[in-house]
Formats: sequence, structure tokens, C-alpha cells
Amino acid sequence: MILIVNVCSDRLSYFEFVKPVEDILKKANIDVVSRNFLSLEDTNIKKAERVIICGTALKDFKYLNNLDRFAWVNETHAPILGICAGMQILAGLSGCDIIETSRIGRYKVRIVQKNILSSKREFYSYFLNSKAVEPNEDFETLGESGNLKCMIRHKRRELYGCLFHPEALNQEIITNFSQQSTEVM
Amino acid sequence: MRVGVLFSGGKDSCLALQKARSFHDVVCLITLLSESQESYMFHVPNIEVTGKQAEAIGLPLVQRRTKGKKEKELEDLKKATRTAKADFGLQGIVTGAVKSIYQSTRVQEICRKLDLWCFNPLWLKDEIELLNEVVKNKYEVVISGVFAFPLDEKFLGRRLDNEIIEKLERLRDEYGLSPAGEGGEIETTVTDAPFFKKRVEIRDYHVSYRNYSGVFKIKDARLIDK
Repeated sequence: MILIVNVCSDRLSYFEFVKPVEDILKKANIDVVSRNFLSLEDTNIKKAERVIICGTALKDFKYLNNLDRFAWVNETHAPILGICAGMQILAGLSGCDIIETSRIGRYKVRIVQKNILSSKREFYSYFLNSKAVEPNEDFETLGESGNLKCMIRHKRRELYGCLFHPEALNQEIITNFSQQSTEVM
Repeated sequence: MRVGVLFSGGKDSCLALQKARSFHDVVCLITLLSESQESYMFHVPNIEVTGKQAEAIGLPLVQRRTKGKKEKELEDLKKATRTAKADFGLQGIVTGAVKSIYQSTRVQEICRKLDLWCFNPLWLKDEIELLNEVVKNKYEVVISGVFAFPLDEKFLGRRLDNEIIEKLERLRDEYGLSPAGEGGEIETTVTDAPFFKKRVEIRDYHVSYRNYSGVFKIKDARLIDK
């Protein structure tokens, strides 16, 4: 079962940032359970084989002001994919700097390190960001877009981040993550 | 939150409006009247009917004319949105964008510049699921424009129903047609929906069609009690 963590503080944003990810997984016949980060229970996390933390609206920063509600990230062994806000959460919990940026629209991503999320060398992705991440030494960069580190992976754990929204133009990233067997680190 | 809906009068903006009403206070509709048949952003057939539709829904309408030229129309949209924000105290904008990265990017940019929330409740929605939801909700939707092979004249003026959805699904499988018209292949006009207080009755229309491109133009319409 894949646990989808909804970080949207506004319920209308669910349809834009969470439902598309649910739909991709359901279409691939993958079991999905979705929960808002404020109502997550221990059992949801314990039952999850993998976790996807979705993005949210440009003006929504409730997740960043409540990073303590994501302490479970450091306790679970389940691989986690953080999308946009989700990547900021994973990086923020590891002490990376969250930086201001403005990137909205379709931009090219260049893969700089082989990874399980995408076998392509470059592709276009949909970005919707007012913040980005400056990865620290705990993370390696998998993909770049201009000067942004837009795909990252933790060096010792299966924590992946995509700053862009793969649900829009790169759905294979979501299915690749969800259908992988756990990597040996 | 007080929100305004970018409103073309078609099925997508109506369904987005319906979803927004479940969570927010929809206080106005915003429409760009494009003079261009090839607008990059805005639905064209029967856009003048939005006045009647807004009246039927019972919401004020902020309208602005645009030449429909590529980037200039974005300036016009920004001006209309700024006016709506000032006049109605908007905190957010709702759109019916489904697949267009171009449209979505432009509206997100405008909202960012005007410090408004941006909601796209139909974003990436499966097109057949979208059409089924419209029919299930008992919308009355008229196909008001066709702009792609192999859509023929018979589609124009037809009401969207399960039979038409099946037909569009077959054309998707056979020709790769976007069944909900997300590439501009089909345009629609909504004449009734659960949140309409009155129905829009079409009293006169004109159909023009040539080479898989045609419009069902509403020439006269009136509101009637439901």
C-alpha cells in the first residue's frame, strides 16, 4: 500500500495536487490510502510500504510552519518521494536550506545521476514553485533545471525529492517509485 | 475565502465553479470577451452568453474585452482580475484548467503577481470522468464548437449525454481526439446546472460548418424559471 500524504491546507487544493497522484496509482492498480498530514495516524505510517508527500498551492506554507508534524519521516523505513512541498519537507527535516525562488511553467530537467525514478537523460517538467531547496551533504543531486537542484536523493535512505510536479508531465516517475522493490543501501 | 471564477460559460468553468462553491464563497465570475477566433487562452463561441449565464446563476460578472493576441490578452486578464479583486475583495481565483500547461502557467503567474490564491480543481482530471461528472450532475450542455477531424456538423447543437460521451470515447481510441476538447477540439455552452437559479433557453441560433470546423452560435437566449 502506498500512503499519500496531503499537505494542502485548503481542501479545494486536494483536487489539484493530491487527486492526480491518486489517479495515476489507481490506474496502475496500486493500492492507495490518502491522509492529510494533520490527521495522519501511526497505523497509516506503519502499514505503508511507500509514501508520497504531495505538493500544494503557491501561497500555502502551512506545511513549512508545521515541520514537527513530519517527525515520522525520520522514524519510518518506508521509502518516501516528496513532490515540490514534499521535497522541501524532506530536505528541511534534514537541515537543508529552503530558499526563495519563482519558477512557474514548463522547464527542461537534466538528469545528472542514474536513478530509479527516470531512465531519461533529460525531459520537460511542470514547475510551480515559490521555494526551492539547497541540498546539504546528506543528499545527492539527481537532476538539475537551470541553477535549481530539482531531483535529489538522500545518501543513506530512500528519500527522493522532485521539486517539479511529475504528475503533470512525467507520470512514470510516480509509477517507477511506487513499483520499485526496496533498494539495498 | 472569497473567490472569483474565470468563467467561459463552458462545462469546465461551470464544474470548477460547482466544486469551488463546496469550500469557498464564490463572489463573482470573470470573463474575457476575446475578439480572436484563435485565442490562446479564452473560449470563444457564445462568450457573449456569459452575461445571461451569470444572471441565471445569480453572480455578478466582471467582463473585459480583449483582442485575443497572444501575450496582450494576458495583460487584459490581469487587469480584469485586478478589478475583480478590488471590487469584490477576492482572495483567490478558480479556473477550469484541465490539461493546458500554457493556460495554467499564465493564470498562476497572474495570481502570484496579484497576491491571490489559485485553484484548479479539474487539473489533470481524466476527461471521460469529467464528462461523466457533468452528465451525472444533470448539466445541460450544448456542443457549441467543433474544431478537429473527424467531428462533423451533427455534433453542433447536440446536448452532451451518455451517448455522445461514448461516441467521443470511441473517437479518442480511434483518432486520438481529446474527448473533453482539452486541445480546443470541442467547445461547449452550459444552459443549466444544479446551481443555476434559472435556465438559459436558446431561442435562435445559427450553425456554420466547413472542413471539420464549425460553430453553433446562439443568437438569442432568455432566462426561464426552473
